[in-house]
Amino acid sequence: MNTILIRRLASSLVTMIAASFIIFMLVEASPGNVARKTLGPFASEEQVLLLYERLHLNDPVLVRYGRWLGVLVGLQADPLQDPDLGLGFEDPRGDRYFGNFGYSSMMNMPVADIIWERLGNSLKLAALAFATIVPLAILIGTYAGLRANKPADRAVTIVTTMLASIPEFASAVILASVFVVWLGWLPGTSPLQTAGGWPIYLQYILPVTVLALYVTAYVTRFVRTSVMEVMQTPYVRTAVLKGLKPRQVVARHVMRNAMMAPFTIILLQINWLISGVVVTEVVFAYPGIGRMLLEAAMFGDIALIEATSLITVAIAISTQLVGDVGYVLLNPRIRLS
Amino acid sequence: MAAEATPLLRIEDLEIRYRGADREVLAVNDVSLELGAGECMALIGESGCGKSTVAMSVMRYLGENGRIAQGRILFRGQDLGTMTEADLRALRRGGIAMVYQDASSALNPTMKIGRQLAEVLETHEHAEAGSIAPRVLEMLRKVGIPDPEGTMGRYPHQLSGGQQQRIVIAMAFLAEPALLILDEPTTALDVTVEAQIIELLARMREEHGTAMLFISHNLGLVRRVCERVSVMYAGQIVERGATATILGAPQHPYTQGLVSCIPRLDRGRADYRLNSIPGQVPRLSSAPRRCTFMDRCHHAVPGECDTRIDIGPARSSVDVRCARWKDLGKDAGPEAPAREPEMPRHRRDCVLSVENMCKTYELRSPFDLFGKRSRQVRAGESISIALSPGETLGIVGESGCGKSTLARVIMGLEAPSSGRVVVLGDDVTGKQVEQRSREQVRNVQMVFQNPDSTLNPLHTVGFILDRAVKLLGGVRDRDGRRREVERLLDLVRLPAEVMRMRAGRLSGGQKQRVAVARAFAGRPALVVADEPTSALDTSVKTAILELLLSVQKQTGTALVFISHDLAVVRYIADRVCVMYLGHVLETGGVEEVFEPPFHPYTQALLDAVPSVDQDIAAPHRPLEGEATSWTPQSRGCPFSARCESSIEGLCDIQSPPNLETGENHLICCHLPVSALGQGAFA
Amino acid sequence: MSATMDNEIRAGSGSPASRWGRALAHSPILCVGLAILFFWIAVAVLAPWIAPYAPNAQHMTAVSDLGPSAHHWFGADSLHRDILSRIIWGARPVLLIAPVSLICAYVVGISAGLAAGYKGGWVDEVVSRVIDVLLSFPKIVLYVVLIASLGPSALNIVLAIVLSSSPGIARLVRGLALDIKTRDFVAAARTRGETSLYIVFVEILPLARGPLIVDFCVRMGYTIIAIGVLGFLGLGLPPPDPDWGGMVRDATPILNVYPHAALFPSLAIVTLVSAFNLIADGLQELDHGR
Repeated sequence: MNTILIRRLASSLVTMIAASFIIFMLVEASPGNVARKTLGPFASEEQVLLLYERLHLNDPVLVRYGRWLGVLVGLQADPLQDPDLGLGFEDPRGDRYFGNFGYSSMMNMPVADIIWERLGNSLKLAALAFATIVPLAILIGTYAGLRANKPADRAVTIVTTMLASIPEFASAVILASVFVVWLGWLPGTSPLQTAGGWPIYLQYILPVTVLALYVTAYVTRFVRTSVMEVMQTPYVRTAVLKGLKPRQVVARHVMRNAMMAPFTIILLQINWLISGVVVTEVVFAYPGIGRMLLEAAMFGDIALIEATSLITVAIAISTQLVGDVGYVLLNPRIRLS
Repeated sequence: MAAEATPLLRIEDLEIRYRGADREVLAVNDVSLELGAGECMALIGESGCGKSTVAMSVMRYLGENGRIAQGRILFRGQDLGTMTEADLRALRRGGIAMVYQDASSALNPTMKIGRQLAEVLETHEHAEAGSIAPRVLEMLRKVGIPDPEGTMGRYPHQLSGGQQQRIVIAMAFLAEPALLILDEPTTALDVTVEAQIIELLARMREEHGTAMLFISHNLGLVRRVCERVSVMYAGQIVERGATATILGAPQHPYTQGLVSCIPRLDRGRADYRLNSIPGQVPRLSSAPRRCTFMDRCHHAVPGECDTRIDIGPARSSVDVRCARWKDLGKDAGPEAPAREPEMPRHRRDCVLSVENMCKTYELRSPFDLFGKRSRQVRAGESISIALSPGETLGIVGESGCGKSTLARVIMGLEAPSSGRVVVLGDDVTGKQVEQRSREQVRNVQMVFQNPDSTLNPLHTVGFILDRAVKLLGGVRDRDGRRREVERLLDLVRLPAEVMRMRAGRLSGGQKQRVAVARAFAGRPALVVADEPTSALDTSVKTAILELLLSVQKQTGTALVFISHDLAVVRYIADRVCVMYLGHVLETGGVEEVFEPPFHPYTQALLDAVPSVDQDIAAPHRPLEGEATSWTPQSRGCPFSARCESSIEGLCDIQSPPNLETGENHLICCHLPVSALGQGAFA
Repeated sequence: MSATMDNEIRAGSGSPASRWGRALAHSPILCVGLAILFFWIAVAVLAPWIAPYAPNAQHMTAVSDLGPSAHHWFGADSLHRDILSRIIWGARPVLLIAPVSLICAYVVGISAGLAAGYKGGWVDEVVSRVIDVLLSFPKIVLYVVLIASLGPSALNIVLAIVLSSSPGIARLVRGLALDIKTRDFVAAARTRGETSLYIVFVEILPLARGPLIVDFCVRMGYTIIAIGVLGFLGLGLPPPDPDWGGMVRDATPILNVYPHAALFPSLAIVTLVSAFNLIADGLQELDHGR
């Protein structure tokens, strides 16, 4: 068991490193771009060339990646903070610390100063959505799966198919048209400030609903299929023919087996949730890390793009790790082999 | 059979229908039977005859698509059809219990054994919490589970197949049922384990006085277990009565066919002919207005057989559903086709020789991403065999003995870990099939076990054979290939029309015929057949066996025939090789291996096979334990752990010598020849 | 034997057309999905003839109020362009980019998956690792970073979709190949001297087509959503040509006054996506019914 855990952990670390390399390559593959984007559109050609030299941007990409990783984990001094460059980048934590994501050219401050609060906001949003999705999906999915091909199940199937066809920005538009424009019950934006006159908790309702709708539909379908399949296994037949009550059969024999596969799927949904979070944050002007990723991408803020994408990927990988390990724990066939 | 006022179970005119995609299927039709308390009745017949449907209907568990269209099922005089859900649960808790074919899937994989067993008692309202665990333990002991306390805390996958079945039996008897339904309870098990389970069931039945409805296609087993038997065909009971009478002197042509399809363990090939029943079981959508067996019957007479036929009494308290049972004796039976003369063999050349073959599997867990830690499992340990042209070598052994691995190594589908494989004088050791020359590939072909996976279901028969003719037969031009495909179909007795059919639409027997045709397309020197008949029904099985024999005779091809069925091997093989855990324990001519002296394992295998015409269980002690996997650390004789005659300090330490007990007859054992073979079978 | 065989041959006959007919009769869901899909294909093909106006024409004088009117059934956007015309023309890029990029993704995914599944060994090791890494990216992160560094264009959208979809396809194909290759007819093909390419493409791939077709439909839905999301985030097709996602984006600032400008293009996306989801459901249902 422990060896499985350690091996999974090591493999996640490798995946993380590979992912960080891909991000680095996508963002910094062309070195000229890096110097230009760091200095902004108004810097002169000489300034760009100078920075290009100073940062050794003509080194091979692997060398540059190594340096970048070194700065990130605090093994190397951040070259951008070198006062000789005259960029005026200052970081109260010094130029060498773990989690040094560099200096945001858009916000003019160290990335570490802005990103964690934004991340906290996003996590709040995702957690609320998750807390809605999981119980709903399990409840509705099980209900439908136990009544396979009966009218109730058909209805659930059709409704979830339709809901899974509505992308977040579309459901945001539809819900906002109804609840904001028409009924005026809810605020159209969620800046998490009370200045607009709306209490914070009301500002959460629309973003959470939008996020939950799509993913709940998807997970519900999965739970339904899984329950349906387990209901047809010989061991459920054994349980029924033992003379157990239907409720006992479901609680003791169906649920645990039927939840194993959806468990991984639910945790994989973090990936979808993150995607949804970006869109939802943009629609509702929610101050989270997703909107920041998009703004950084639009602005060309290299450090901020890297930081936001690295953090989202790290979250995705760690939930997958939890999913895998949880699956092993749930399934004695793997745990005890 | 004393007719009681209310028998335990009474089925009246039962008709069961299933809703299919397009139409309703009639699964059971006009079935009536009666079972008294403590009685044991068998339902026999081929797959698709409705045996299991009858069983499940007695549990009132037909699924959503099935329904009882007509008739009643009475248990202790109570109609199951009108029972409330609560009554039904009470019935399942204490009245009727069931033992399933596949124990591993019948047990919940994520619940501990102890819990699953205790659940049966918890549902009894009167069971007190404290008394449950001791009763479960006692039951586990009764069914012969070695470490009951430990087993309570294990999960099903940690037990062997035989032990899982013991758990299912324990579960059934914990409910103290009056009637036990057994649905092919030993079909998934090895023959020695099957014998243990049958003995256990007989003992439990004696102790508990339980009535049994025993569903099986194995007539020998039925003979050993049941007093009465009902033969089912196409959803109807076609014959019923005392087991000994029906199996000894069957009246209905279908039963006669079934009995004459069974290969004999006590007789050699020269002494009898195996029959097969042509055609297949029809699928009915409405109640038949004529004999359902008519199309396959040699005795069918138009005018007599194509009216509705009811089951009625024939001689000696046997009921038969046949219009012509009185006249059957006068008809000549199906004329047995004359056997082709055996071709003279050239003993000098050697088609195949395998020397000291050893194959080790490295097991890696699916979560092992970098680790080099792996477990070794040996499938074959120093196997040596040799084969001459036109000869048939039968390889017998239980599951896990390495017989399939041997086949795959010969074919070049897997590489041996050590040893030598020589085909037609060429050393092909370690040469995967991709590295072999065209000639080497052509000369060694294979017939696989599972008819459903042996042919690509999307390809047409014509395409499959055409491809074989092109690559193996080396025929280039289109007309030549077509003629060759037609020749092959004719060889395996299939009409030329099947060429246009997709393989997925063929029946199991037809698929296996195409597979035989494919294997013989390039006139190979050697064909390896890996359990080619074990997935087929009895009536089809013998047809494939005869086909293999006749094609082999016509082509002079050498055959390696792998099987777990000793009787089949006795029928088809010239020489036999008995394998156990990757070792060859005994090898020799077919008559020598099946006559004493035996290796203790061979004898145990022979003892374990129930015979159709042997009366109720000859006093007989089945071999204990199950074959476990052979680890590299193990020493001595692989069979020593289960051998009754094992000599401590010798058999478990030293590898046994090869005793030469006749020309080419080798027994690998420490015991002196004189001590081998005083068993019950001899 | 021959009598039963004749019956079987007859049962096995049936033209492909009649089989489709039977399939449609059995699954109303499939019918609805296909109907919606054909509707949108027709709209895209016939755009020049059925669109009331040119998609980029501005109707300053005609529109005083942006809301729906007799002249502009779906109203106009903030640049006074007719929304109905833009939706009709906007069907074209979606129905072109989505299948093209997905087919590219399938070519990549099927090749990688088959190689990994059939060959095994180090090929499998490498492919599986790459799949793991690419799948660990939330798709949107991949899109945003990729398009941000390469710039928005139809080609880059295709690239982003191929990069994000092919690992999932490869994993599916690998699993199917691993399963199918254990069947005996693959061993039979090997012992007959067939090449790996033949085995993979003639024996294995055709048998995997059922799950792959369903997967394709489901992925078409995702891809259309992805194209919409990219447009909505401003990473889609460059203006001024109509793009449904982009239309929603342009309309959100005026959502409080004119919700229709965002609603209609949103509904267009929803119907097209649901068409593919319904088709996938219908196909699966038919498969289970068998």
